[in-house]
Amino acid sequence: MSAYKNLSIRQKQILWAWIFLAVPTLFYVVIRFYPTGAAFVTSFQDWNLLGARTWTGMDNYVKLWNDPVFWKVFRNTFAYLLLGTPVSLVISFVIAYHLDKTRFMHGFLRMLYFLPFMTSAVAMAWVWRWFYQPVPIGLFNNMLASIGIPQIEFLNSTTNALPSVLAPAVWAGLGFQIIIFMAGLRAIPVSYYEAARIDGVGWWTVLTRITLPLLKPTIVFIVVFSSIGFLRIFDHVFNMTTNNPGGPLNSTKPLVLMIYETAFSSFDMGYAAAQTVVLFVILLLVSLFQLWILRGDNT
Amino acid sequence: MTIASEASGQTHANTDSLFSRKANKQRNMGQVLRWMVLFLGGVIMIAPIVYMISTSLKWPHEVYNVNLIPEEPTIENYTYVLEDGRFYGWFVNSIIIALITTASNLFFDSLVGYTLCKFRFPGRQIVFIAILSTLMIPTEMLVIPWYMMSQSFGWLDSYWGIMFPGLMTAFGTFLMKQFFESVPDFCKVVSLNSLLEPTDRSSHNIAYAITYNACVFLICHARDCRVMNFNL
Amino acid sequence: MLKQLKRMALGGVAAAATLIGSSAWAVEIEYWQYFFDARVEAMEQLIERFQEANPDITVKMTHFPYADYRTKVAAAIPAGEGPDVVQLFYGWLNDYIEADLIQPLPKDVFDPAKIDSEFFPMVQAMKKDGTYYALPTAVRSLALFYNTRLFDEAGIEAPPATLDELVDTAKKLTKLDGAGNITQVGITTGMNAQDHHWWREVLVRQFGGDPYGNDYQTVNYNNEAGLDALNFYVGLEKDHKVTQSGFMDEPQAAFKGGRAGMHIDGSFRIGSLNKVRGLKWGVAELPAGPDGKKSNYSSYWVNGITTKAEGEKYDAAVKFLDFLTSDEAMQVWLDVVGELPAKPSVGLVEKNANDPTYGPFIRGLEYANTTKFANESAQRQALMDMVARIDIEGQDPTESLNAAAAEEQKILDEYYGK
Repeated sequence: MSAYKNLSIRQKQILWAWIFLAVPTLFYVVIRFYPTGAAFVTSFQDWNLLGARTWTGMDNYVKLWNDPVFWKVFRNTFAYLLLGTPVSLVISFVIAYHLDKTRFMHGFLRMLYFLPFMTSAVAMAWVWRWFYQPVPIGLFNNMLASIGIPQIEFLNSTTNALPSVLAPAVWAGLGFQIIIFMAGLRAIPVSYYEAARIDGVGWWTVLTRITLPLLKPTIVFIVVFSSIGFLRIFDHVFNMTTNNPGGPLNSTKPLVLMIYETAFSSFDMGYAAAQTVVLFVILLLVSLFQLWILRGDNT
Repeated sequence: MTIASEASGQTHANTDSLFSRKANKQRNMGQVLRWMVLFLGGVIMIAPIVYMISTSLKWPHEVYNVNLIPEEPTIENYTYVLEDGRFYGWFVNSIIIALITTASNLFFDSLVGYTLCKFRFPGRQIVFIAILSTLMIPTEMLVIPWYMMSQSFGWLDSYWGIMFPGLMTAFGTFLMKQFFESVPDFCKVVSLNSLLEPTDRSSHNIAYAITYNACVFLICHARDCRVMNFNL
Repeated sequence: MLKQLKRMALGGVAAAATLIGSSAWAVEIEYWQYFFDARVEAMEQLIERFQEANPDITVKMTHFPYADYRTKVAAAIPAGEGPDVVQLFYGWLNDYIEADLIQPLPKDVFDPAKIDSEFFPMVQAMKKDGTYYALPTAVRSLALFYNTRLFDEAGIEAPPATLDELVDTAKKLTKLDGAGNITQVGITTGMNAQDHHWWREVLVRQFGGDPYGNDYQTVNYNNEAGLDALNFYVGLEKDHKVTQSGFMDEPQAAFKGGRAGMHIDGSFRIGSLNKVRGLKWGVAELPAGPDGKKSNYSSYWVNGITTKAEGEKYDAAVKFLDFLTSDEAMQVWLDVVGELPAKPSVGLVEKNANDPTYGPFIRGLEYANTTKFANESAQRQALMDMVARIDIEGQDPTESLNAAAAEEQKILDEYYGK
């Protein structure tokens, strides 16, 4: 007891910090890092879930490097990232910006935008899948047909399918990003805006000189997390293309779906583990790159 | 109360006499337009959900018709789900799992987030990066080891076996740390009083953060658990 | 330590149970299958009957979602837990034997010569080195479903008996809207559903080919016959315009929705079609090929005894499996699940073979082939991509066929370790 009393405030702080962190540290080590290590080990093995594991060295990685499907999937994964992240960022900011300035039935409007996020991704992917069908059952194509525009093959096309699958994923995540943006907008002290108003500064200047710079932590947060989300996209793709997962001709297949198929329909666990290692490295590099680009003084 | 005071702060604080009635009218028109556009966007946002509800009221033979209003509405699908009986079990499962993981997340994630934000100690940055890096570990990488783990601990076929991977999340930790950062010093600002009646923006923010986090976790966990069920 | 405590506690409970319980010395064996309503119901009935006949044995059934099934089995058996009798897809047999999960069936009860003669021939795929490892209760085959209301409407009297008739019939059933979009297809298509089986085991053979050589280890459809079969298949959409791939999302949905005249599907579809209100349909054998050749595809799930079953549990497991492959069990399975009996002695009895619904499927079993898949979903994908390349990218059929053959050969080589 007296030993504790003799500690300096700084030392006490260190002690308490580690007391608080003891259980969580144990948790993360056992539940997250140990299995990750196990997956790294598996990636150097051949294992079909049933039999014994055999060591194969780098074989799984060599196979991956030479697999044309992997490179296709690799490009798709980045297409989801590079289309999805900026599009959802811009849309959610525009909505949040205006929603923040709206008082009349504010809660109701906010609910409309938030609702899709709360709904099951699986059910929604199926609804969207119906929307995209050709006539007679597809809503979009029926609308096009009724105004005399030829049908568009949304899903049964190697060029349109990826954006078509991405749209519901953006739609579903929008509500969450809007809420985060609004929390960020509210955290900006009103005094900045008042000062700007007194100076008679236009809204564009207010937006680019005050709002956006002060929103930087929020933007970093959304960019990093939505990037991780798009790099790990699975639910929407899988449920919208169950007839031909990731198809047609692998044009919508993201890395996670490839992992899922390798592991749970081909039962090639070693190869699947090698793919997860690659995904892990991609996620890590992309996130670090973004944090480095977006790093700033005001985080 | 808060909203009213904010509204007056934002729209009527400007007492500058330079604004004529005409300018005010223009501003109001702008507001109405903005509201209309936002409302329209909101309607588009929920259209798929409305369609889902409409489909749930259709007979199987009508499901593929694109009309929004069912020709012969039926609640047969609902009675089927409710009479089938298994739905209650699933629902109870979801609720139990959601409540426990939410409580655990709120406690541990805010504890870790707070510690990482407000304490200075050796290893702080490493712990933070380590926790954050778990976000980049694909779940697919973990499910098989998790299954083996539950098996060796005898957790198979139990709530615990489903819940243990989600008791703490890096996402929640990051979110809490981020929110604590926007507060100069948590202890000074938050008194019970200020929580109940938010007076300035930062204390309001904490109440906001906590309520939202509760909701967000509940939702995220309902989703995560579904994914887990699917995989395990 | 904890484990020991748990074991002690469990032992205590077990002891108490045996003291109190009436069936004091009953053997309990565990049975696993994947979850599908009708299968579970049928198995419950079978277990009940079995336990009545064998009061000293209790069977506990556990079922899992299909997606998790293999993972669970793989994790449990090596750990000495899980099933004594297990259900598996016929295509998984080699994996299960190699992983030491199932043991050979005893020859005194399951005499190979007797099984050879009693079961439909494709069951012989379950035999390895002269011993059977697993046996089915029921099998599935393909047939042509047709919508009787649409047939009447178009004035068609009988379902098509040949491929040429199939095209003609389909033309009469196809409807277009003003803009030329198809609103009702003559016949559904989709390699993702059952068409890949139809193409592989039926069409290729009917056009004079043999889809695989060397006991399904070598692809053999990249030739004239394969090309004819492929041209016929894609011609339905491209030349005859009687179908559209992906029409109404899924072939079976289009048929259920009454917007498809004909639909090729498996016997397992019967149950769900019966539930569709207002849909009137009939079943016919698959149309014969240009020279009258008939062919069909059959698949099945089998039951095996796991390596975990020993001693009295093993004896009980043998008895249970013997019951599951009896004529009685097969009739129950047909009545409840709608899957076809695996023995002609049950299938070809008057009542079943002439049944208007099951008859065409059962008659199809006599000339059915079973593909020995190395990786069914990957092999299916190769054929799906083959058609998609022609449909979407306009690739030349010959090129696409050769690419698919190469792709599938790669999958086979990898599996057979070449």
